[in-house]
Amino acid sequence: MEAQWPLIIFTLFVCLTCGIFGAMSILALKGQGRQLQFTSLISATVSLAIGGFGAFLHLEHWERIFNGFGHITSGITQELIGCVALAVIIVAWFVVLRGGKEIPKALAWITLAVAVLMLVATGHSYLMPARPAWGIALIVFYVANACLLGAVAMWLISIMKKDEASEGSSIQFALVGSVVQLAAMAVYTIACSMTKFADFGFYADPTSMTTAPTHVDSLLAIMVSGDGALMFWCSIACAVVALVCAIAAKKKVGASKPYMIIAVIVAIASSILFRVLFYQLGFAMVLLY
Amino acid sequence: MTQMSIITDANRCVGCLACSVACKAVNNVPIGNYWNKVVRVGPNPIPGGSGDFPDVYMYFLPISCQHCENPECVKVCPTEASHIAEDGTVQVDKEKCIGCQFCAMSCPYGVRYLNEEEKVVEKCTLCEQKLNQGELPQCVSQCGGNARWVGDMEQGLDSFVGSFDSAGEQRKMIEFIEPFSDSDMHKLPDVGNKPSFSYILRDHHWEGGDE
Repeated sequence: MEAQWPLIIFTLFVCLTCGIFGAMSILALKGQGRQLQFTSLISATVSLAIGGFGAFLHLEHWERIFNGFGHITSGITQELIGCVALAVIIVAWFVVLRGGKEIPKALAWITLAVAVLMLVATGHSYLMPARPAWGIALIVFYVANACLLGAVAMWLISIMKKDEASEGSSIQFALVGSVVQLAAMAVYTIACSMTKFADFGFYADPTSMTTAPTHVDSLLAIMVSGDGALMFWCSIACAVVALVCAIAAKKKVGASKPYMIIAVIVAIASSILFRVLFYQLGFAMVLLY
Repeated sequence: MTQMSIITDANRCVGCLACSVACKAVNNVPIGNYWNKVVRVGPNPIPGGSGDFPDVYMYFLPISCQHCENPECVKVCPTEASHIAEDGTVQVDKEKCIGCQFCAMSCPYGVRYLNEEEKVVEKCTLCEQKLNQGELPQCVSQCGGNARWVGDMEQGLDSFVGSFDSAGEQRKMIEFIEPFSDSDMHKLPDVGNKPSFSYILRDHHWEGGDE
């Protein structure tokens, strides 16, 4: 199916938001990143707003959003609840920071939990038995992707704020995040290799006899050497570059800006490319025109 | 409980597309959208045959919303625009639809379409406007091969009826069509959605996996 760009924007920025919240919380639990917190909070808020706006672009009748909205089994409803929960977290952090106090450990843990739940809800929205490529591995990818995006975002902010302790931690996060993202990509690839489609043998659309019917024998083949190969290999390459940057920057804390710039670019590129791949692989289980 | 449904006798379907055309006409289905579409399955080789003509077979498969018992489209709808009606059919309240199209993505059969003009998702309604008045869905009444039959699955196969004969008598499926066994009844591939529509195919291998 065609790439749904509003949804790609939404999931990208949700992962970025949750990643920033996750990294902020971990730094807060380590007693670091005090001077990054306000900038990070603003960044997460803007990111959530952009993501939410992206989601609205997907709706044909966004003005009806509250017209009976709230069917709890719907992933969109769950995502909206998650966005509201994140908004509450933002307010809580803002109130604490405005008071000049240290972020309580409990708030950091709650933030971490809400961020993970939001990522699970986002992945869960796309879990559709009708589309074999959209399985549980999507949730794994979104959580991993948030780790990488959050890490590189904190790396950027820590350099902006000249906080070397946080910079060192952020580089460490980026290293772990890129490894986790690569692992999630491997999980997704394995999951795709196990998918099956209904096979109707030869078939045709009598209203369009000259159009060749779609056959999918193997999603893995499409990913590795077919139409999805460009997205697949480029997204992996980008994640590898992010990992190399993090490794190279480990011993250059305080002078890691060039590595950070590359890491930010490739992390975003890898995230977008893999999302486009999701849609390229999003064939219906019954492929009859 | 009621589960209105359609049974299609694939051995009787001649692939004339009258059901598709009738559906388009009576429901004003936009160009490019198909609430009811017919797929030609085959020619596929007969098991044990040479693989070449004449050892092949073919049948036609009219596909529309299967009005599933456990529909994914209803689960993913954020506004409950997609819902299960009292007669067991899956309907879309177009006033509630926000056009997110997740229902279209979640449907295994690709039978939901965005109406570009109204910007809402539409699909086969089983001609509820006609059923509610005691009439037949247009694809059933228009079926030239008497392959389409409508009835209540909960009431059993005896309840399935089709078009009227020249004497004005309504045809009953069980009395009209050729004998078949339970093993001749098939459903489209099920991913947990439990399609309520059934297909009868005798003496041929049912493609697409079984229920």
